[in-house]
Amino acid sequence: MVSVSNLHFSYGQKNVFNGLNLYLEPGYIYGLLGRNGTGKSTLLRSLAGLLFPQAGSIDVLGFNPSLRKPDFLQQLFLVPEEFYLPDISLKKLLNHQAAFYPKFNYGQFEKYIHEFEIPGGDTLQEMSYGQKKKVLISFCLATNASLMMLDEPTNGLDIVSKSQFRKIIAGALDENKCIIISTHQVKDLESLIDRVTVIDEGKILFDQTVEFITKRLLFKISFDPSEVAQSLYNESSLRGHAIVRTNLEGEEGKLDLELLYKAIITNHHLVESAFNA
Amino acid sequence: MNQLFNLQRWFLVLGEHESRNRKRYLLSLMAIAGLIVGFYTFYILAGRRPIPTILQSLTYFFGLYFSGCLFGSMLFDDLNNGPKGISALLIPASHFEKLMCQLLFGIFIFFIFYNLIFYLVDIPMVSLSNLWGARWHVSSSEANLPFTPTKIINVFSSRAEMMPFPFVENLNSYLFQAFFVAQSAYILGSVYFRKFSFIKTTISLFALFFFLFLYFEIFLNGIMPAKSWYYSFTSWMIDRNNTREYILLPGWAEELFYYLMGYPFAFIFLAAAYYRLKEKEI
Repeated sequence: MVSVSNLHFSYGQKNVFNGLNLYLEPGYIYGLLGRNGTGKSTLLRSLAGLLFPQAGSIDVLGFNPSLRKPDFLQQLFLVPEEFYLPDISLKKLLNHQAAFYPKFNYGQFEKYIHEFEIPGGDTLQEMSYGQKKKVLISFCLATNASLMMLDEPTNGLDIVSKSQFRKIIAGALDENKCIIISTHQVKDLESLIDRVTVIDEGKILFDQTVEFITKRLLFKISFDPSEVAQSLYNESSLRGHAIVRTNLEGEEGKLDLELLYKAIITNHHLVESAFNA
Repeated sequence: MNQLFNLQRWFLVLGEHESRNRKRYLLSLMAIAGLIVGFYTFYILAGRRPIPTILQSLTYFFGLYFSGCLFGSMLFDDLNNGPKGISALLIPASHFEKLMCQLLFGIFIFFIFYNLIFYLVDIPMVSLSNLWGARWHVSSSEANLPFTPTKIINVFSSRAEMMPFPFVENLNSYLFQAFFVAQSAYILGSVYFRKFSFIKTTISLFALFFFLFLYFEIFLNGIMPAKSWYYSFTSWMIDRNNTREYILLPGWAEELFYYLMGYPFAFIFLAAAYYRLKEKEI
């Protein structure tokens, strides 16, 4: 569905991507994680055809995104971190924009709006930032576009809305769609994503499915000093030491995305070694 | 489905554009009407006489050039604002459809509404100035002369008395042509420049005119015989023993030159705007 090969991109003197390779398949929710300024938004914009590669190639759904052909654009939806919605009512938004997307489902949109508890009568400009964001997310999911990209979607959402967001996103995926969620708030994506992709210094630092991660790594609280010493990553807390260690015994565990992320950022070679073993 | 132009999709683009910009357009038209009303009111009160046709003509063309070029320079403003630009570029329509939509609103609909607004203001204001002018005339020092009310100008008429420069035949047709070329240049500027496109396009046009001035005054002057002057774009005047001689291009070449300087130039600017739109990155 998405194939990025040897992507090079820079903003003037600032190098963002230096030979980035990425391959994404339909049927997954990808969590694109990384520090601020590591190129997450740039990657999403490149996939959407808003930025052009300086070298390398991008193929999305069989299209070259840079050409921004209508058939390509109607199969893709990007919810940017900073977004724009016109000063019109929800009804008018649907009347004027939904028809561009052949697979748009009005019933689905109503359902999401209801689940997000968006008031129907207000114009979009009368809504709060969080409400507007929820409208845009609802619209994005109702387009049933093959590739949906959400850049920091949980920014500006309250705790209840974040939980609604996770529920709605999980229900929106099917085998023909690919959802990419870019964020640095890793906790928000826990129990939602199927694949973790960490981007840092212009390269993919880590890219594994959640299933494989939990097979290879164990996330736990430990009080055993020798276990802490042998861990791939540890940090002390009031409850003991939160550690990431190799899952040698094949124990069933739950992914702690924040801990994994810190482990990768701190020493990704060590984490990678657990997957290469 | 055609990836360059599809009528059904274009209508969707038009609807989307109208819903996005309706308020802005209405406010702009009201502002134009307000400015013309303000200017006419000031003239009537200060001059205490009817609004002459030459002033109507000047107001019309100054307003057309200023508001049209300003409007043209704002057509692609959205592309210079990250969130709005992303939203505009990702609308599932071709660049050609998006450009045609902007041109329909920015050139065609603007021109119709500008004329509508102008006459909606001009007709009552000129009538009012005639009415008041007649009353003031009675008590003025020229009361012994007959009072002549002014007519409403027809800006599309080539009659000389309607134009600011009556000695130039068909001036209004040249002014309209030049307007569409200038507006197209500002539309190109709105895609090309990220910020302050109106100012930057104005500077670019002045730079272009300066370059033309240098070309005629320095380059051509240098290769022409002594005591000769640039006379027009297509002619040169030579003074030989107090007898003036002219070097002229053939008539067909002159006509072709002036034709090419008109609408084809607008087309070139708009074609450049299309390619620039395709290359736009956010």
